[in-house]
Order: sequence, then C-alpha cells, then structure tokens
Amino acid sequence: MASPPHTIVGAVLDDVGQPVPDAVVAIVDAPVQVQDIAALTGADGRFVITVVEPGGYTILATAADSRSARVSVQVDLDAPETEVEVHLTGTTAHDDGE
Amino acid sequence: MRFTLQVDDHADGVTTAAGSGESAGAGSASSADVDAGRAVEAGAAQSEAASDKGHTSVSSPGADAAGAGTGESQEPPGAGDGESAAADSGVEQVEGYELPDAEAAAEAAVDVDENLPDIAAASFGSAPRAVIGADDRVQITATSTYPWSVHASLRITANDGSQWIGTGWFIGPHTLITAGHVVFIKNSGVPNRDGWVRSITVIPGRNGAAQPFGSSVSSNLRSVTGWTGSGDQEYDYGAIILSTDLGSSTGWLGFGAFSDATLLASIANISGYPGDKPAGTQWYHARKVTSVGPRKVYYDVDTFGGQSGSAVYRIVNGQRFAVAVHAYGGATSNSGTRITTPVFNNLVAWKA
Repeated sequence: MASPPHTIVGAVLDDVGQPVPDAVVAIVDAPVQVQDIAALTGADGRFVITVVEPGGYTILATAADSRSARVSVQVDLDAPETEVEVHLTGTTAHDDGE
Repeated sequence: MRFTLQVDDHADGVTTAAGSGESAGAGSASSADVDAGRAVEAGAAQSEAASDKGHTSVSSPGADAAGAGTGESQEPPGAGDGESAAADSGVEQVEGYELPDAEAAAEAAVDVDENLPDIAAASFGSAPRAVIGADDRVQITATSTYPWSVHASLRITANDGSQWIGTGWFIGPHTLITAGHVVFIKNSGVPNRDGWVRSITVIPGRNGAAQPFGSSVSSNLRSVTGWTGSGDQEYDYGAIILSTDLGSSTGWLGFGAFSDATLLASIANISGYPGDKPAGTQWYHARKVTSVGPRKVYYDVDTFGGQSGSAVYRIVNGQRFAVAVHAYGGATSNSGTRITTPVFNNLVAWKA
C-alpha cells in the first residue's frame, strides 16, 4: 500500500530575499526513485512538489541565469507538508559537482 | 527521402523505422513486407493486450481523434540533411563523449548476441544495479540535425496552473511520446492539480533560446488506464498529438519490443532536457542496460529532473530504436517504462 502523498512547499529566493520566478526545481537525492520531472517556480518564486516516502530529500533550484542552490529537507509523512526556502547563490548547477 | 516501416531481425516484434532520412539509417536496415510484418505482430499481441487492461488507451477531454490523422500520407521533407552517423558501438558519435571501457566491452557482446536466436532470459525480478558513474553527460549543440532534432523540450501547464519541464520525442509526423506523468498528473496531493494537464508547449531541437523548428502547443494527449486510473509506474507512458506535422521536419525515432536478452546486451542512449543545465539545452549520455523487468528497463544513464519522457534507445546498424520511455530517477538507478508488445501497439495507434 503506497503512502499518501506529501508535499514539499517552498520558495526560491535570490541573495536579497526576492522571489525568483521560472527557476527549475528538482529532486537530486531521495530515498526512492522519483519522477524525473522538474517544477518551474511561479511569479512569486513558489513551488509545490509531491513525494510519497519519508526520509531525506535534496532539492536543487536553478535559475534561468544558471545560479543555483541545494537544500536538504527531512520529510515526515505525519505532517501534511514540509516547508523549505532555497536561497540562490552565484554558483551554477553544472560546475558545483552536479 | 523515405520513411518506411521495417522489421528488425533482432526484435520480438515489428519496429517502425527511424525517420532518419535517405542519407543514412533507414536504407541500411533489413526491409521486409510491412503489412505482413505488422499483421503478425498485431495478431501475436492481442491475447497479451486483452489480459493486460492497464494498457487501454485513454485520451484527454476534447481530443480530436480525426485530427490526429491529418497529413498521414504526407511525404516527410529532408530531415536527413546533416544526418548524424551512428557507429556500430551502440552509442552516438558525439565529440566529448566516450563510453567507458567496461561499457564498450559489454556492447561488444551485443554483436555476438545479435546473431543468436532471440530468446527470453530469466532476468525478471533482478534488482537494479547500484552504480551510477560520474556525470559525464555532453551537451548537444547541433540540435537542428537528426537525430537530435527529434527530441523536444516540453513546458507543461498543469490544471492548477503550475508549470513543469519534461522531454518528448517524435515517433511520427504529429506524435510525440513522453512519460504518463507528463500528460496526466496522478496522486499529487495538491488541490486541482491532478488529471490531464492543461497544455504542453513542444519545442523540438531546442538549444537554449534557439528554437530551430519553432514550437507547438497541444492539449490533445494520450495515456493508458494503468497510469490514469491506477498510477502504476509500470504503465507510465503517454503521447502528445500535434495539430501540425512538425515531425516531418524533425524526423523521428523507431521503436520496438525487444527480448530480455537483447535489452540486457544493449547500450541505452538518452538525450533530453535536464533541469540542472542551462535552460533549454539538450544533453546526451549512454550506458548499458543493467536489468529488465516485465514492464521496466533499468540503466545507469545519467538523467535529471526534466528528462521524464525521454527516449531510451538502442542503435542497430546505424538506426535508432526506442526500447523504453524514461520516467524515474534515483540515487542508485534510473528506469523507464519498457516498450512491450501492448505498449508498442499503443504507440503504433497513436502514431496514426
């Protein structure tokens, strides 16, 4: 029996805390295989992605200008959602070891 | 230029020929009686399909079935110009990409296996191999030339207005194949998100800001009840039907239902649009197939979010045949929905 879905709710922000629209948000590490689709943040920089298993997840956000940042979250299925903020840096996703 | 249907001697069933153009590929493979080959395949598939209702095709609301046939007999233009050569190594000849020695050795075994009878290996239930190497994906910049032109960057708008990125690939003039979860969102837990997505913008051969074939928006979608009803990842595949014959300009890939033995001896090639790279750029990688299940194929090919829906294809005698639809990524293995005979039959129907 599959676990009920749980959502990771978050926002992608720049280095002064302003929302970053159209950033790509995807799961990098997860306890199980995940759908290989990626979300785009809205005009408010926000995103909502779904996971079905508890455990540790790492999320990578990449802006259109290639600035990126990772954040790790612990998902507990007892809570309906997990809140996260991703603060972009000047590092690009393709040269930070990804 | 000719786009023909052909029988692949090494496949369990018929494969449709790659839309590779007359300069290479299509003309080099063994041709066969198209109608007879398809009839044999369809007949053999009926009993399997009947017992596997998860493959029952479903369409998005308002889908124009008649429209799907538009341009069916249209002769494709010269998509073969600038054809990219594919060597017998099983991988694309891309500057900057080299298959590791161990993988190349595995492909050498393909040449041997291809001469053997196509019998099924007892590999069902084997676990995915827990090795994914360093990230040595290479960027494709010649995206306006075949075969790279068949891969499309997808921008998806879900029911709740949220937007997503994925990948699709042409199998005919107006049909792209992708993951089921790209066209139909299931069990998201988010209000108003589940169901057929609102629309998908298809950008074939995209290279960053460059859109060499323009773009097309579609809400005419296909999947199967095993995904839309049950959310079973073994049925995670679907299609996007365009109102134009954009694929006649890009070309398309062949596809086939292959045996376990053939798949296990194959190199899996994937090119798509990963979200961790500069926006809208296409990236290629290849590794051998690591294991197979009745409805899944597992491999160590590096992928990332945004590549859901990519073709997982093998190269045979210079032609490219999809064997699975990439759908899931993980720390220890990646996987796609295997093109079995029922899947093959749906792809043929959606291509019409």
